[in-house]
Amino acid sequence: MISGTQTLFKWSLRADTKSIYPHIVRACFAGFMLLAVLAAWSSALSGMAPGLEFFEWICQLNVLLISVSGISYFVSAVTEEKDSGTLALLRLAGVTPLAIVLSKSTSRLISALMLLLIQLPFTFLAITLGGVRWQQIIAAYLALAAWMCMVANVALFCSVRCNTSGRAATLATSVLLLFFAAGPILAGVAGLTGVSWISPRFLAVCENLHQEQQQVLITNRLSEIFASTGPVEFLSIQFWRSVIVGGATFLLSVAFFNRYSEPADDNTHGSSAKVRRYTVGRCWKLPIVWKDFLFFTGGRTFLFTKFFGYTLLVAGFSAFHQLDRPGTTQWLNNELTWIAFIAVTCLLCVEVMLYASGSLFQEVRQSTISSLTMLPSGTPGILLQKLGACCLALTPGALWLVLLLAYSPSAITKPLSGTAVVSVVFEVMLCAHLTVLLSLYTRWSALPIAIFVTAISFMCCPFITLTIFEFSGRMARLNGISWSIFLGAIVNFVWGWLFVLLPMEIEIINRWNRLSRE
Amino acid sequence: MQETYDANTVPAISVSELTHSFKGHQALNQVSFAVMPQTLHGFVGPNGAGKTTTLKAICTLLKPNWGEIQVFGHSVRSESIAVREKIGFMPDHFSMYRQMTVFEYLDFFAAAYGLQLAQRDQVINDVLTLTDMDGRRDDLLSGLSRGMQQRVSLARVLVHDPDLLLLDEPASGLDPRARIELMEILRELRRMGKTIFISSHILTELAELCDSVTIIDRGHVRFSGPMDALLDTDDDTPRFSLKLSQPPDNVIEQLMGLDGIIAADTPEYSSGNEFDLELDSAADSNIVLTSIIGLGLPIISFSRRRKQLNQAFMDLTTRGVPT
Repeated sequence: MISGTQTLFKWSLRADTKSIYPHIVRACFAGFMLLAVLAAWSSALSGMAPGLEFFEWICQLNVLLISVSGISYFVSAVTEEKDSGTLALLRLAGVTPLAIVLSKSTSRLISALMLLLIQLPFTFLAITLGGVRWQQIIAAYLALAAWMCMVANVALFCSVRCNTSGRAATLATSVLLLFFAAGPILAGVAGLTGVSWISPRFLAVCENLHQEQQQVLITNRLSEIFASTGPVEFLSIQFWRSVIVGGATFLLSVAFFNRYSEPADDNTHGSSAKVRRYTVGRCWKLPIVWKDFLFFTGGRTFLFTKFFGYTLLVAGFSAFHQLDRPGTTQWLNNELTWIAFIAVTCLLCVEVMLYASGSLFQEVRQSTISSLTMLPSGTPGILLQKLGACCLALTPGALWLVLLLAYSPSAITKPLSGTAVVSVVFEVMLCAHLTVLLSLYTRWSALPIAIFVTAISFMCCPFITLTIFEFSGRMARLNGISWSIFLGAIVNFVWGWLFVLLPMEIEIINRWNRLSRE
Repeated sequence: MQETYDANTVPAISVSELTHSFKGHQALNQVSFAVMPQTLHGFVGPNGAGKTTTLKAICTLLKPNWGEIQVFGHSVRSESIAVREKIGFMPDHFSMYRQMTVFEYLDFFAAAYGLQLAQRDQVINDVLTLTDMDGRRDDLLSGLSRGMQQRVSLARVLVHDPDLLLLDEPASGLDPRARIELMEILRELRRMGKTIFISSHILTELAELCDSVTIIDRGHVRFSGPMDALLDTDDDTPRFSLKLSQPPDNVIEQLMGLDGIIAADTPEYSSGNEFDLELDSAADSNIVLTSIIGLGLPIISFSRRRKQLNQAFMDLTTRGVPT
């Protein structure tokens, strides 16, 4: 077992060293550190605790990075072998499941630890800057290490459980998002004490679950460490629970390895011709829209399912309102209309990102780029048709947004500011563009990396947006133009598209053309 | 049979001084050749010779560093859309939407080439009949064997009725039956007036199938022209094959005694009734045959020995893998 593990481990480490992308990520991370030092220096001028603030920045970045790398890096540990059909060869060579899981995950763990290692000099700088103690730094790094252990092993289990890297990435992302979303959802439900039809016992269960979840949550643990002024506990409940969950999922990965080590099996028998004629039908005049709509986004069946799902979501809010206020004539009050609008928007954003990550990548995976490029429509035409298919698939969510807006315009427009709308829309577009572009470069990590980059850019986007709104507003007032908000929005979108999105679109086309030659 | 063309015939493919390099590797160096319309042209070369690069340049996917390519008089560089409408390219790898059925796949490409609904039905039926896949139209592509997937790929490149077919290793990985059936389809397509440019490693089949051939090695064209010209290219001494029904014991001596024959021998793996004759370059083969008949030998056949394509290929290309 040792020799098998050693060989695989060496090979994985060598592959990682040769690949340029991990080095780029490390360089970007170091660059971000430098920015954080500059930010800390500027806050030092204002007399605050710059060391603590700087260290908080680093820790928040680490949480984000570990969460993203958990999805993008560890989910492909075993599935990359399944995707390339080499898992059976490894088994034939006598490499045991434990050796495979151990070697594939350890090399990745070392790469992830490299990212933590480059922080050390900066971390010492945090002590010098003042406001943070070495006990806090050690406690924070132990909490982060435990979090990494948990996320990495959960992702590893997803990699063992699923047939393809895509499915593993989807499962791991869903688990992680569910874990983070569980906090506010449980807290929200537990807070519904005034609702007569919800039993107090159920609320108590939700409250307990919320408290348990909060104890494992890394962000809470870090806040606790940063806020402490006295002695800091190194090995907290968060540490032990994360390590136990990580260890348990690792053992599960080894235990279930043989059971789930079969490669992806295509369904060779399609549904009957009659059923397909109804579900698929004949190709439309825009053939790529037809192809992507039916074979990528799920077609009519999934469109109706999504519409039903969105309707069910809004109906849930409406039912809640009816039960909360018996005898009311309204479907939804203003507050619930706003919450429903936000919920539908969030789901729509998730849909956008999923389509962005898969739309072009599926062509890369199926080696169909050259066949498509040979069509007389040209690359921009092909990509526009692909966009059209995704837009068509997004209609259920978009329709519900319009319906909610039409139902109570004031409930939605009142809490919204022009800056917020422009910033969020721009960030979603930026993230979608980045995801599409990265999906042509990386195998499965496009979406997590795009979210990571967008999250960083979100820190500066509202400032730029606000400045442009302010500037355009003043200019409008000077020239007697009413509706300056629209002017601000237009100017924002023009600069955003011209300087950020357009270069990405050009690179997407160039990359597509390059891939068609390979 | 080699057809003749007048000087005004526009070649289906005209490649002149095509040069391309990537990552410091010279993939193509001053490659020039022409393919006449309605012919089956073989494109042969060892691995890494530059076959796929040339094919990709012809089918507009790759912009070469230097050189000019014309397809039916249209420049690949400046009239790529017109060129794409004229050609059907089948790459060496399977590029398929495996979740589609055969009919949906062909319907998609037919629509992508702008065919109307009624026209599509007719075209799809025709190409499925041609490729003998009409019984599998509702099968998922993922459930088809490699040979059948290859047929569907061929059907796909035919849906827009291109004049020129560019086939990159269409027979690779196919079993002998599937290969022979594919070659039959190609013959049928040539009869229908298509120009076929086929890159392949299966030389024996190419020799039977192709009218003309280009041999490329390490980015250089070693030979380009009619297949006959390649196979007849031999030493100064013409070689003939003689087959007798019951040869007498001293037949070699009798043959050597005739004028015009400078060598006679029994081939290594013959059953004893076949003989290789080497004639004097000045000798008339008809006179030699008359002399053999004059000996009263029971002749079954007397034919000129042609070089095998394998031999020609080995003679023209260099040993080893290019670096």
